[in-house]
Amino acid sequence: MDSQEFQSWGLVAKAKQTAVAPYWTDEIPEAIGNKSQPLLAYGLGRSYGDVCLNDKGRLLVTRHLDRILSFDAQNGVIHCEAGVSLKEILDVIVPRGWFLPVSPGTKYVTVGGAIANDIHGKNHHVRGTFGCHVNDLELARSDGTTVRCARDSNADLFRATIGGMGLTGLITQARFGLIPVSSPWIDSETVPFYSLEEFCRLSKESEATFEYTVAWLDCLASGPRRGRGIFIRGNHAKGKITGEPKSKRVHTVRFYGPRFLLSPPVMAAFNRAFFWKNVLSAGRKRVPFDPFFYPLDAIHGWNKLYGRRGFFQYQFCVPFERLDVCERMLELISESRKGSFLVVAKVFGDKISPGLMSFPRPGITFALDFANTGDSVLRLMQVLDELVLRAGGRVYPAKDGRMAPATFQSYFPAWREFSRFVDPGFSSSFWRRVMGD
Amino acid sequence: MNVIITGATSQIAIETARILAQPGTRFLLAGRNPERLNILCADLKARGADAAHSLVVDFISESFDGKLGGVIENDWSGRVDALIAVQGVLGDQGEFESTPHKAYELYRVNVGSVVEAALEVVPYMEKRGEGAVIGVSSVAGDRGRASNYVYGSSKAALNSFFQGLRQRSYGKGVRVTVIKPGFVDTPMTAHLPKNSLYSSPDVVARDIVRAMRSRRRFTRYSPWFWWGIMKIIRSIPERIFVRMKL
Repeated sequence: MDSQEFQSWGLVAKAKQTAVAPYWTDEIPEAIGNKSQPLLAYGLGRSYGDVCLNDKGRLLVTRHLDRILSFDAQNGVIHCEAGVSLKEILDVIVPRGWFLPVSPGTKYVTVGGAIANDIHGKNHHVRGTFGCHVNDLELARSDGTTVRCARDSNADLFRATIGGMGLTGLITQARFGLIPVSSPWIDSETVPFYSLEEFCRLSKESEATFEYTVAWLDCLASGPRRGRGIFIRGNHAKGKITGEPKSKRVHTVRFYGPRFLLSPPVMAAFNRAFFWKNVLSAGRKRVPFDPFFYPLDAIHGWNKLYGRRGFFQYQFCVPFERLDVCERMLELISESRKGSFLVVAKVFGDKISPGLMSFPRPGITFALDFANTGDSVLRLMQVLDELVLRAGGRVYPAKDGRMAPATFQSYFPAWREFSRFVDPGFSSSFWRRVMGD
Repeated sequence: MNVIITGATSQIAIETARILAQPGTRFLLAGRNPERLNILCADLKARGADAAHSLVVDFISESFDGKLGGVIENDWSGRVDALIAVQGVLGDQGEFESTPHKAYELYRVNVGSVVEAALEVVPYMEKRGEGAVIGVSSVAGDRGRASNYVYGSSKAALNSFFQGLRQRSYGKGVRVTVIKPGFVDTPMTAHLPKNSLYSSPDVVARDIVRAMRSRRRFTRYSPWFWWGIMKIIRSIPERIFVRMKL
């Protein structure tokens, strides 16, 4: 393949790289080639920043490595090539009474990507991250070897690969566990709240009885209204339920959004409308799993709504005691008028992932979008970085496109140990940036 | 439903098999690479097929020699519902002109093995009074063009063969359909620059499955708009066509 512009989901980071898309795992040695360029795997490109990009390097595109090697429908274990998407897995397992142990906000990510970014979901407080459920994986290294890694075999490399952002090699296949479900429905409940304290209280009281909890915050609400939002909690519906969910119409965004869409009054109005609509429809509802977990998947190419300049996603987590930091952040964001349509908030539990560079730590996490309005938004994120750093928190690399080397290295002191496992033939735009190259 | 797919490791075959991989379906996949066939069989079973077995045959140098019939009789109690022949190599027209004997290989794969498979399997379908044969041809077979006439002529041979087979089996419950894809984005065309006419293998796969289930058409262009394009190409008088650079 010639030099192509593969992009990441945020549409900001630019990279020119060659790409090769092997159809079979036996074609991987040839795809790795003579290693004249640094290599990096590329799945479905849903990372926001430059974690999945490799400027002046070569991408190993995995979308054709999409075979399921075995599915143990008795014990809920699936073994597949790393290019299979979570959507395809769901298509196979849900009708047989199983579900993904951890689901991110979109089903269009590959298994390899799910492991490399050690993704988390609305049930982190119960199940931890995706890496917690991986039994073993196979890694193709640039020296031509293929290594099987598990908790009891090449354990160090296993721990480095989970959350390793593709830097330890190309994940070719993986085996992971599933959770049993009796139907494709979710019993969900929506509860409005009016302060961050209320959000924390709701999270704590929901932990024991709800598998899934998440909140949406209105970050553009100012003064006394700051900290209001919608809390959503749910469980897989129990018992045999008849009725298949009807698949919903999918919309496709074909054009880049115009700038006025991102202006403060429009965003504030959207947030306000979203908040009040959900207040009016608050309460219990039985919904199909697809819109509960993947609401944005119904809008193909929603990232284009942010226009040609793209957007940054900023996700951080801070310990519980530092709720004040979250308050201060909301204050800064609402003052800067650079807020986002959606701020997702969640409480992380204490299940620690085996991944060395895994992001979630017990505490509170917020995920925000910032339209790319240039230097001013970069400066804002630097200020936020400082707050997070002083609070003893960290920012999620899988979504990052701009954090400075010193900041990254402070957030993740394990980076030194991790770098021992980085394959010398592999690199990414992200890694070169945070290593100060 | 018992389905035989020859050339099973091709992308079009894989996408077709995935659509058909439901409980109640059993597959026999014939191809050259045993590891890839095994991976495919595992994938189809994981996705819901009752069974999937492989038959390793290198179409360049080997024949079926009754092996397809053997499986139909011994494992499937004589029942075969569909034969989908997908195998094909594109070759390099320039290479054929410099090394003519390479054309034999292309003909063996594209024509020889397809003809052998169809002749071996159709009697079982006629005996039961039911079955579908789908041959994957190409728009390249509609008219010989300088840029790929060895490949194109092999597909023209298939068109004619299936036409005759259709006439022979008519009234015996066997449907013979020819699928003519245009440009498809697969490993076969990986080295060619892509344009807006390219479609993906799952589009062709859906047309193949439609052909299996429909009694209506004998030939399907995939996607449908190639019917119009080839009608025009075929209608150009030879003395004008001969001067064109196609």
